[in-house]
Amino acid sequence: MTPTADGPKDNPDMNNTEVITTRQLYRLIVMIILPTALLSIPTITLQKAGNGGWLSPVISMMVGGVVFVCMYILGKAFPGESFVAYIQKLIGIPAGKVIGLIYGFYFWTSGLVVAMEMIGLIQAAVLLKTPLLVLLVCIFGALAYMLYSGLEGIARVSDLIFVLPFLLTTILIIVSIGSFHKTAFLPLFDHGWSGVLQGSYVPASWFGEIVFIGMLLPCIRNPKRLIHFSLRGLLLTALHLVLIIAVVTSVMGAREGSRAIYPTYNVIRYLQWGEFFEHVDALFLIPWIALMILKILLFYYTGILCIAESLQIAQYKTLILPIFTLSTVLGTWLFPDKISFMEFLYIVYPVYALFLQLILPLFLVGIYLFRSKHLQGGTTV
Amino acid sequence: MRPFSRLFRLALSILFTLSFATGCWDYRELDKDRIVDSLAYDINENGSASVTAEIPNFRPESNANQGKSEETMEIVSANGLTFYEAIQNLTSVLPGTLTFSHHRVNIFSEEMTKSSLFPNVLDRLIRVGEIRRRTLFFMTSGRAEDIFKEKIHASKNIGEGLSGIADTSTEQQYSPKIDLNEFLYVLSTPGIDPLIPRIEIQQSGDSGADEIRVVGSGAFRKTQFVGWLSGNETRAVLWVKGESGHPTFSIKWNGDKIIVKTKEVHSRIIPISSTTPPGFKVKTEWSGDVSMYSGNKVIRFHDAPDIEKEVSEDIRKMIAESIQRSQSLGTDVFGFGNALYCQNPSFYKSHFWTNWDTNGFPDAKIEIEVQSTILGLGYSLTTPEKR
Repeated sequence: MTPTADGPKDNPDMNNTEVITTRQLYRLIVMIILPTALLSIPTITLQKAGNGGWLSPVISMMVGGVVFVCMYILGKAFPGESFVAYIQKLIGIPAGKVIGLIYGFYFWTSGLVVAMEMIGLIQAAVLLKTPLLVLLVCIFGALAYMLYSGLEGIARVSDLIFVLPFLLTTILIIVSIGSFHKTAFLPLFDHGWSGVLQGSYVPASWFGEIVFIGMLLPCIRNPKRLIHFSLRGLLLTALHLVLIIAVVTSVMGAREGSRAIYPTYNVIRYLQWGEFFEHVDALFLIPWIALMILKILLFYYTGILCIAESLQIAQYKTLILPIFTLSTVLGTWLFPDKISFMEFLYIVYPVYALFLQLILPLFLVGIYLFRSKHLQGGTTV
Repeated sequence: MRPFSRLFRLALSILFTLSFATGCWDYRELDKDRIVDSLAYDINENGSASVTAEIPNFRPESNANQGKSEETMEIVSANGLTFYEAIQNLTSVLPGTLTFSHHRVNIFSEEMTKSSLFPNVLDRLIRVGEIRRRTLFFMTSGRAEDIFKEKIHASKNIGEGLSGIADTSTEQQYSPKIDLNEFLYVLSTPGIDPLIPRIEIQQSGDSGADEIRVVGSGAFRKTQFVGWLSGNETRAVLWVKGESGHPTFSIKWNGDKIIVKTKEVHSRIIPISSTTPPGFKVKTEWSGDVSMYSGNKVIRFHDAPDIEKEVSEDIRKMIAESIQRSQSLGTDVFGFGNALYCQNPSFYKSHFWTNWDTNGFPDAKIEIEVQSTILGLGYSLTTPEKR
């Protein structure tokens, strides 16, 4: 069974007739989880799990799997309808609209957090003196334009840049082999299994970002292999992160890796092959920024769609400019310093995100199953 | 009706973005960058920090230089209460901005590595994002700044010369190649202490001129310098750690001298008893070729076991002396503690987590087992004198 047997249906509220394939959805799943994790995951997992940190993404991936199953069950129950639309049918229109707005706010703020993370590295590595406001205006200006191209445009860009992270990781592994410390993983799991579990907590909130497919399921053309491609996306991302953490552990050591703010970037800067292959930071920064931009776009697209549907705004594109203007303003004062941003990212965000990614969808599935006797063919109760 | 065409919106976006072009803030005039190639760290008599930098001075192409650009090295010094301050003070005598993205070499004086300022320098190196973890470490018994007064053969400057020497000394294994990443890795690993290669100004045998040589290494307990290891002692450390280069060394065989060249060395530290004091076994497998023979005997392959026995005994002695030296210094540069930690983490944590260097390693009972294999006798069976 698939969420939409007859392909995408036009949403009467949205006039949203955009269509993507399951293969494109698979790429988008990778793109929405990977970029943030690529940069920050070693610090978080190595802090908690020590040299067993490489296993944490596998546990986190399972959380992503549960979120996907929730979205799939709900999508199957309400074919052709978006997440915000069927919440209203499940829990009533007023509460549904409020929850839809909360999800819109969540996706929007998640996009903003990712943008701030990207700007943080750009400011630390390349544009040290450029004021934050200028970077915000430039990046959000470009993003706003890109968002006018819609989901199809985002999906096509993802087709183009999908290979970049894998190419980058391959180069990273090959060139850093000479700097590996074979004893870095001994004794195995030096912080124990509880450390591995603790290390998987924050990354779980990144894998949980797969919740965005709830808004995209109605746009999928011929979603016959939805489960296959979605799980493949989760698996590929987890495998990728396992490799990245293993490389960081092996080159820097678990303790050093856990101290660094950008451990993956440190390893990239450490790469050297002979006298000619060195100072290759840009090799990492260019594809990483491309991935981050795509991730921000996806979050903003989903967030704006949620808000538009909840407020019954016919054209979601009318919200692009106001939301991006507000984001630019928020970006300047939301996180006054790096420390508060890191605290938000590692302490506040996982609780906030996991509630909306995992707890609430599980609750909605529970309501659906409880009331399924009264639901007929996805129609209202 | 659409108010703006797609093309118009694109043009508007580009123009809008361009108006905030970030180059205005982060532009860099390359000729105004002062690229720090090497830094020497010393402690002055009054306890203040002294930093000496080697900075390339690029002169652009000009008619006076016959159309060629020219590179000379500038040596600049500054003092301060801390090394950070001293580095900042370099800018008071240098026009332009100090840049550390190509910072290749750090030279520490012995006095500096014994002081409490050494950990501060390490902290600065990892906090300043510009500095790469490839930056190399060296130390010397005298003033580090004196190194810049000398020249290294076939090198443009000290940074380039020491980088090259670090590679060859690793190959010959009389000194390790240690960069910031390697130092920090060892420092953050339980049960093992770091080394830094030692460089000294010595007089050349023939001309009597001063020249820079790499001779052994300085051993640390955590971030505190505790003593020197000779070239042979350092080689033993590297072999026990399983870091194989291709050094040559001589042995006595039937009263003659044989020089053998190392092909490979594999070593393992095996904890044999988790007690206090703990017991270990070092198993080393060496393989190599005969490179020179000073006697008149024809070496046959059935002589190999005899030679191997001599090689094994020589290596065993070398390792034993090195371990003894490290135990007397109270620094486990071999990683015996780490082997114990990897095998029995709970025992190590409960007994030696904080005091391995002072209470565990010095009393450890260590057996050494060396197995040597002569792979070849070179391309000649006899010496040229043999008739």
